[in-house]
Amino acid sequence: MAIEHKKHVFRIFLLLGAVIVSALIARIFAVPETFGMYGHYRAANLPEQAAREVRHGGNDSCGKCHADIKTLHDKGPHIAVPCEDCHDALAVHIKDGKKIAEMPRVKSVTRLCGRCHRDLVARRDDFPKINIEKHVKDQGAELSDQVCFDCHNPHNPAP
Amino acid sequence: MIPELQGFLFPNDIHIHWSLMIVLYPYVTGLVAGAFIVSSLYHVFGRKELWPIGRFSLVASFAFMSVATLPLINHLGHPERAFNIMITPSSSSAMAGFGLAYNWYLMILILEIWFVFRKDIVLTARQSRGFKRFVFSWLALRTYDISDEALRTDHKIVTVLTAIGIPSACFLHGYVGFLFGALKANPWWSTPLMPVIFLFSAVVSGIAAMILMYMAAMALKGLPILRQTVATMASWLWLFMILTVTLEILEIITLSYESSEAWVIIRQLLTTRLSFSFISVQLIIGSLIPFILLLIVVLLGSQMKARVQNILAAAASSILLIQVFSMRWNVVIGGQLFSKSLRGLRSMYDPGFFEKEGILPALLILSLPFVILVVFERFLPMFRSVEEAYARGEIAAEDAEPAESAH
Amino acid sequence: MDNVSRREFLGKAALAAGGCAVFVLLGPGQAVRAAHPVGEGGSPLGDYDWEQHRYAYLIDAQKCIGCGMCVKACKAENKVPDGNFRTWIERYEISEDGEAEVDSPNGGLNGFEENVTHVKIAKAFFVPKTCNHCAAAPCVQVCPVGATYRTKDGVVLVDPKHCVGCGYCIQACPYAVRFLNPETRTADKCTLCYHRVTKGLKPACVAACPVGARQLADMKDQFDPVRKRIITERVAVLQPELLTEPQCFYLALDKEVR
Repeated sequence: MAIEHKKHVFRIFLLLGAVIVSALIARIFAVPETFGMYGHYRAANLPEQAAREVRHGGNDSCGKCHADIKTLHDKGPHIAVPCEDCHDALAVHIKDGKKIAEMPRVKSVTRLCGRCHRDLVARRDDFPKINIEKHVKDQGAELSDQVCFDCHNPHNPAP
Repeated sequence: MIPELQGFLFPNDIHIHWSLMIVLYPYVTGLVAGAFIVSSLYHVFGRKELWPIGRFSLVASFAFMSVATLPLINHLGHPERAFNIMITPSSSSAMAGFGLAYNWYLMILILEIWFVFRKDIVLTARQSRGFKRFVFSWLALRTYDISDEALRTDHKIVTVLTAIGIPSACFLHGYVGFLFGALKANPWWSTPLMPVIFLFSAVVSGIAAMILMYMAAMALKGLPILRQTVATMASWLWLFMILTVTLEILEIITLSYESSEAWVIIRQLLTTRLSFSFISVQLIIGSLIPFILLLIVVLLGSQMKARVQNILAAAASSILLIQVFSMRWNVVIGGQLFSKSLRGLRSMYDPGFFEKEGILPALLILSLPFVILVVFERFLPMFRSVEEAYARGEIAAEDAEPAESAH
Repeated sequence: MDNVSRREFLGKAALAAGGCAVFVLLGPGQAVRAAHPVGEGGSPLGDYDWEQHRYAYLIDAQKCIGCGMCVKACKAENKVPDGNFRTWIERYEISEDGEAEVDSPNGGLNGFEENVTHVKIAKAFFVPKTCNHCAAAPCVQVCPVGATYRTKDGVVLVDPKHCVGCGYCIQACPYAVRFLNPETRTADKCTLCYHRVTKGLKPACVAACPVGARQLADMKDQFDPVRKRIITERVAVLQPELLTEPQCFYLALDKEVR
């Protein structure tokens, strides 16, 4: 049997087949090693995600060196306030158990206290909120960046 | 670039993530699909009046297809990983369909062009020397059968390929519409009408582009522009533009009538940020005027001078090319101008001229297909049948009747 | 000779068939690859067994005071680039006529300084927002390359080494919690501090909240009090009609919140 005048048809489809097969084979080598183990993703990403740096240590990690402040802190109304809220993340200050830098100083204490305590309308009423400007004036003081410290210890601010 | 914000936007919503490149991509694949549909009108649906552009439309589809991936690659955060879409495609992702759709259709197109031009490739191989002979003999796959039986086989295969190619071209462009239409998070995009609107407007842009490119090619070659060819394309263009605009308007009317949660912000979007590009360009100038121009061509074309008919068709085509672009812009950019909070809008997106995903790269990408066509014409002429008919004196003036199928 | 002989044809057909066999056998390449274990035993993360946990989040909008410490902590913990947010706080001020003013100055990163409106306000409150780690996440559905996925313990993550930066997931998220990280040029979002929870720590935002408005729950832990609240109290989720099955449950959510 001779298939007449169709040699070129065979050739082009053969070429096409060869291209497709080699692409599929190349694909096998290109698929990342752990892909598909647990789902349609690269399983090796899981330990990569888990290995990211933990930057906040929690109050206990601060208490390791600053035990006296922590004791004071835990006696007052700020017991539920994390140290790292007002101060920066532990990782800024400590690395591998050693101090690498000073904790950054808070620029405006008044502003920082106001973040929680300013008397915004949206802030719930059962939370201690206050009109800072009026409060300072009523106490006979001048509004400044550090004025809250005149009467309140931030670690145990009961007046 | 910090945008101006009005109302409340979710903090991450102020950025535009899909740029001018993503407006350009459906525009280009739309031209791919549209040019192929024109080719199929000749090869499968027997519209003999399109004989001058039977080959050209096929190669035009290929020329646009060659640049279709460029806007996407330019846009990716990691273009070097672009092949991930074909290495680890996700079966649930419409975007992953790109790998399959693009390569499948490219394969069909290249096969078809090869079979259509095979005789010319073989003849060129035989008649040239040196490097050109080398290249063309390999293009012919080193087999040189151009007997009548072989050419008949070629013709049969071309018909089959075109038939397969139509749904393939539709899928290539339709999935883009689905990509937007199936996204429940964005109420401006989410509608089952989206793939249909995209597809029909793609055909509009393709036919309009073919009309203009045919006229330009004939003018450059000093060949007559046949009135019947233009008239046939104009009537198909008219039909598809009516369908497209009907659907586009239907979408707005339905949104407004149902008046659901998103309508308030969408109405604001359309009347403020998109008032120029949607109402003025897409609807009024872009749809109404071509509708009237093509109405005149279709109903009164045979009674007017060929030159007048051609000018009207060219004007309508030019406007429609802009209309289709503005439709892409309004969908892609418009959908990102309002926040998912449905409470806020941002200022209009400015793509910039020299930006990486700006106007200059877009213009460069759009000009490449024309370069490809010029180069292709140099080695494998696409209008031989027209040139030969003209040389034989069969078509002397613009009013000439269609010659026999000489492709 | 242009006619194809039988031998030539059979030879070519065999070659083609061989190619198909190669494809069929090696095509699903994953199966070959999956034999390679990632961690010790069956779990990918060593001692931590992800089959024992399934995380959910409880946000009590009644408690939130809008201090924004959660936003600050998240940024510090995860080095979130400026202008992008893995979490944020929204403020709602609603007048007596029901007109709502909503704002989120820099996501609440520096807290809230002033009231927004000066009209008579009938109700006002803060609402923390974050990734909902949806059980039927649309972002996971649309990712073309499998760069974003949901872990067995219920956390939706992005693999920054595989992501191509197409931005489809960002468009697909109804809650706008995703963004394109300008430094990595990949998609980015809240990871539920996966690096912390797999060590038994709380996410940075939960640990930072001074009033307990943000809580993590382990739905597989019978004795978890937060889990108990989620399953017994009247909770709401954002945009429930989309059926994304968010795992972030809200107490005291108002109809104005989307």
